[in-house]
Amino acid sequence: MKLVCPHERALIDRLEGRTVCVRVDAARDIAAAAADVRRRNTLSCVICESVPIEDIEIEDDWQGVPIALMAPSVGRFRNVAKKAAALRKLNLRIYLPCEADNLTGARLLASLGIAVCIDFGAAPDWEALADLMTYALLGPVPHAPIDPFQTIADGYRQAARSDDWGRVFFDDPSRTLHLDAEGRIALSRRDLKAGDFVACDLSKLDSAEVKHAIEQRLDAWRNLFAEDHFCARCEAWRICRARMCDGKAAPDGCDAFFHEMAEVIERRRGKPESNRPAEKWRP
Amino acid sequence: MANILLTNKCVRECPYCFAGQEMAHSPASEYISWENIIYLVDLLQASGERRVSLLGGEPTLHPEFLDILLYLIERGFNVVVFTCGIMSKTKLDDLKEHVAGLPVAKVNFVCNMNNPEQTKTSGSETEKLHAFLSALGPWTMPAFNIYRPDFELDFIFDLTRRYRLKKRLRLGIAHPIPGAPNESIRVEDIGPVIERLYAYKDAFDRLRLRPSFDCGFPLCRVTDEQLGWLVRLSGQIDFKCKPAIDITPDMHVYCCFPLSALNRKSVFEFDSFKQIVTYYRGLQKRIRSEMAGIYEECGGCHHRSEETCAGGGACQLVNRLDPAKLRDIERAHGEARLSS
Repeated sequence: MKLVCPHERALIDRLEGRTVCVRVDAARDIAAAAADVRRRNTLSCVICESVPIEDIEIEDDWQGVPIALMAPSVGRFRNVAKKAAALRKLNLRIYLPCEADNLTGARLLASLGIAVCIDFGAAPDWEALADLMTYALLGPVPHAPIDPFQTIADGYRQAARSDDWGRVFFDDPSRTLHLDAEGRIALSRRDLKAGDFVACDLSKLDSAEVKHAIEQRLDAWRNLFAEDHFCARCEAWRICRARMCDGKAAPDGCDAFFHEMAEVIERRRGKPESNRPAEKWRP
Repeated sequence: MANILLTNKCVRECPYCFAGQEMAHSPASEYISWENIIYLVDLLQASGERRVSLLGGEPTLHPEFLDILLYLIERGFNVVVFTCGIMSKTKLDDLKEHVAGLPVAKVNFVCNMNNPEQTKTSGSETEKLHAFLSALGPWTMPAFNIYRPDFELDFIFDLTRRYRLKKRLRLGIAHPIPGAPNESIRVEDIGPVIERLYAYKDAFDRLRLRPSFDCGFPLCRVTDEQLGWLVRLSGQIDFKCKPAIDITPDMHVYCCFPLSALNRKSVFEFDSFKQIVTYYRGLQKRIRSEMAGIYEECGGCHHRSEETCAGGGACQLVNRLDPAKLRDIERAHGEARLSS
């Protein structure tokens, strides 16, 4: 189990021996946060809220640190070009919100060998997303992975349940829990932001009540079938796993998108695995 | 090498323009998108291409021209930019800042220059051209289109010397565009044009400026003496006419500007860049099977059969073919299967 926590040294020390993803608010803290975790824990990655990629100042001591860079945008390529070689060398994945310019930016960065991930958000432009997905999975020349498409395709099973791709966003309670500075435990990023905790004390981390909450969350999909939810009748269920509906109505267009994605994944099976550049850390 | 047209806009109105008709039929607001750029770069890379040309219109008018140029370089391509050098100070400063650190082999601006004494040119146009050459001279190869038999080249020698331009002059003959009123060199004037070019021999030699021919120059109109001089100075001289492969901002592709109306297709119909080249080579072959060359004697010429000379430009042949015959060629080629 990985624990996502803020860069609080006292808290990190209390997690001794565990695998930790540490959150920082500024890129200048990446190296220090990584060092603090590595003193007594296994570092999974540093999650950093970042400025646009064109403005980021890359530091030498980021080498060897797995980094999830949460950037609002890419920016003008003329400014990114100067940093492309350095970005490529890092063990880095750039997360971008799903906006039109960012879909282009993600494709552009991936084509230069820089791993990216698009955070769908609530109401994405499904058509533009489908273009990017097709490029991500069927692009004719090697490029860096574009997530979550890469993870979904890798975890897709034709005759069995596909893997939950929420882990790309650190939102899979079977693998990742979230802590706030006081050590309170949440099952997802969203729960953490909403202050929705399953336990209010770090000592409860391995408790039966937390385990029970995790199981309940993991089994929540069953309710969709019990309640005859739209998603339960959707052919694309095996891929999307109802991640877009949040238990309520599914957003318009998601079924067509995931259906198309299933077709793309099937087409991809017939192709030799594209010669991807060196693999970066995976969530 | 593919020519990617970033935009159909241009800042000049050259009397010989061979892109004018194509631009007149395209929306002026159209710029190529990043998605299409990345698609094309992938297509070229998958076919083993490492060089690409950026054209227009005037390619530097694309709002993200500099970004596209740097992207292509980052992807490992050597880039040729066909420009008139006329741009705003801000754009030029940006370009200078980013290009100044690049090796001259990575980016080559082919700057198409008109003689201000022979072609209508405004003062500000000349001023901007000089600013461009002053900023980017070492990355720039001069180019000149011959569209009148009494052309004068002294200004090119002057600019080459003054701004330390690359020592190669790209020379093109302005060909007539089917159905367009562009000024051009008549077939019977090609010999005198080569004679006139040779009259500048001393100036070329003094500067060690090597002439290179764009398509359509016929070998038979060059004397042995002239050929000897050209080969000694330039190393190699080409008398061929190959498909240029022009790709428009909306992803149409055709053989070259003068043949843009013939068998125009979408890039997405092809699996590879090689397939595109093969397709348009086939079109040129069909045209030449109807008419061997621009001169009567081309049919029995050994240079033509040995392919050391193309027998002039395919566009010149198209102009001479019967329109009904041309339609037959286009139809027959349109029905041909794309080779895999």
